[in-house]
Amino acid sequence: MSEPVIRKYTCDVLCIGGSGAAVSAAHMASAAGKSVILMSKGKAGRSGNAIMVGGGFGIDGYSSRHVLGELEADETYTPDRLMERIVKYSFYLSDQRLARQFVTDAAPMVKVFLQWAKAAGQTMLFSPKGGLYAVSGNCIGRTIAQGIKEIPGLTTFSDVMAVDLVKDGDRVAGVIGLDIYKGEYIHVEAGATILATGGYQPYTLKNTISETTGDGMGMALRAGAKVADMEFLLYIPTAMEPEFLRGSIIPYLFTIPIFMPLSFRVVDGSGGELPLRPPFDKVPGSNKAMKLIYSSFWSLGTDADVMRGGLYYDYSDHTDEEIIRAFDHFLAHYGHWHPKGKYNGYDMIALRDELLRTKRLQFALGNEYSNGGVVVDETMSSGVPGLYAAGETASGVFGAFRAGDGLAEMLAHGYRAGISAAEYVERAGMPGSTDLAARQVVNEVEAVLKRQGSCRSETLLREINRCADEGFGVIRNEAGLEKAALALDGIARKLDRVGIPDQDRRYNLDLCHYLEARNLLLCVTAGVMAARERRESRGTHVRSDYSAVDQAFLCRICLQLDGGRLVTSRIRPDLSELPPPGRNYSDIHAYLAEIMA
Amino acid sequence: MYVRVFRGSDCANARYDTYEVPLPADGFCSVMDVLDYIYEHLDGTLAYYRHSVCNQGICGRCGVRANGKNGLACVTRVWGEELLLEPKNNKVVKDLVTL
Repeated sequence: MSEPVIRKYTCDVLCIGGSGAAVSAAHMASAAGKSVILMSKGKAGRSGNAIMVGGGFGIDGYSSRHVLGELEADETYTPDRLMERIVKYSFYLSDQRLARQFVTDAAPMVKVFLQWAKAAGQTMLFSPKGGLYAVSGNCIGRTIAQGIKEIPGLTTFSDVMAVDLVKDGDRVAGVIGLDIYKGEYIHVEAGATILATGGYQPYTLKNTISETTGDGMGMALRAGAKVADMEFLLYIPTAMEPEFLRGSIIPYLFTIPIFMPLSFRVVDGSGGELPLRPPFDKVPGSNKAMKLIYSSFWSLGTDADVMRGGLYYDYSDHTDEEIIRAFDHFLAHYGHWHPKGKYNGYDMIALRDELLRTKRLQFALGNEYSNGGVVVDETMSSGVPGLYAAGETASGVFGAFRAGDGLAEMLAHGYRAGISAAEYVERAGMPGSTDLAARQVVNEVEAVLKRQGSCRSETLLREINRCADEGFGVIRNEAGLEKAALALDGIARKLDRVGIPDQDRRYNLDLCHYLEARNLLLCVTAGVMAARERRESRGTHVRSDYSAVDQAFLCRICLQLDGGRLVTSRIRPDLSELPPPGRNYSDIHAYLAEIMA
Repeated sequence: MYVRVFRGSDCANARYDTYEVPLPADGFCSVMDVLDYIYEHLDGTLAYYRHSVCNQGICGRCGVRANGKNGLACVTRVWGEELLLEPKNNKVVKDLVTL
């Protein structure tokens, strides 16, 4: 086996990630006069979860009108109203300094983003009624790629997976990455490092891009940072059948009448209907709160294995003509971005014909977003010197349920992280040499590559997924969580016995999967620990054995590594602007009914 | 179905490995599904584009030549008894992975 190649680079600010948060951060750091390197696990601009978007994104109406120039925007929808919405739907776990940062910083970065979109010839259709820009994933990807092009002097490493952060004393001072195609190590020594690697997605069914294995959170934990809110994962209806549609968010898009004007009943495999109770049956499908209402109502009322399917939209009340008309409407809207008759790579005519034949669509509850992540303050600092986090990698804005837009979050966070990281480098200067720390990371990877293992990393990833499916799904209880915790302990022991069948470092999937499994395992373990400690229901964390929203748990559960093991602690979110309700609720629906009234 | 797959990093000295892959009786199966099956169950050394995959024809990065025709592995449907999988161009990194 050849000696590993390590190539070293130096910059002021390192942005790890290839999507909107990383590129926004790179833009701002560069604008502050700093040298910037962007390191992306996939191809920058064609990776990250933002390219999976199916609807749109937006900010408050006042800023849309006065910052973005959308003259038809509803200016009575002010930043304060957006903040109030975020905080209330977060079940008051939103850190209000971070919510304020979100509503303040999103607008200037969205403005830049729209300029990139225009330069890239992309269509983002503003809808005054919803206050949203309708977009597609490709449109977002091309816009981000344009941003990369416009950052002067930016050095970009695509298809380089960040392995671990390197430190100079207590300070994070760069990273070791693995160039997936070349099989070489990239050592970046940086004044400040921003993690913008996306969230973590623990389940078997994927509607997210495949790289969301919690890499940034895993690296941050190993570097001494805290994560929080890991028990809160957001679920949406995700296709199971027809099989060519599996993993698509189309079933979720079909719940939004402005996209798909075709009503449906939801039934499980036994034919039992799962209706929404009043007042939720009257809430418009475009309201983001419906994600929580759907996942809870459609899980609590059935014995179906909802993480793997067993739920159906029943269209039998509709005539063929009505179904055809609704598909025509869907395709007319999405025709702005997608080839005729298609949504992304999906053949919508084949789907229409299948629905005409069966009058039903099978779905499961798939995870689209993780609220949890690295604990940061309103400057996006993790508290570990030199380390910042942005976008889905960070936590704190949305608490127990995300009522704002993930795309707006990535832009607002990236904007602030880039500014803060540049200021930090200005103050702290460059770190001392990290060569020894870098060599240690490389040696650890090489040791895994060389050892004769008894199990495969790919197998462990699937075991982690199954464990999350079974014990850490939409509806949780102590017995299931305990079983998941025990299974995760077993997987952790197996991680030390992983072997890599191919010693060639180039495009070595098992090696990549080992690094991913290591991160995902930490994230899921953190999520299960937090879920066990949170003996209540709040937001997307719904427990059948503790259904009440209990204000004794008005806290964020944090996790940190101590001697190699995760330990929990609690912090109270900042509540300085909007006081929380002083009472408990019988369940999440009682809470939601009150705030939606 | 029998799947013949290009292996190696050099077009001049490549070999073809054959794998037997079960197909769902009457369901959909993509080239990516076939490759996942081989990688997970039959040969963990197989290299194919998998490290950043949308699986929905968005990212456009999983291109491969299937029975002589280039397409995205995630949305290319397979059928029949035989499948030949090769790199989509001559810039081979390893097996089916190309630049």
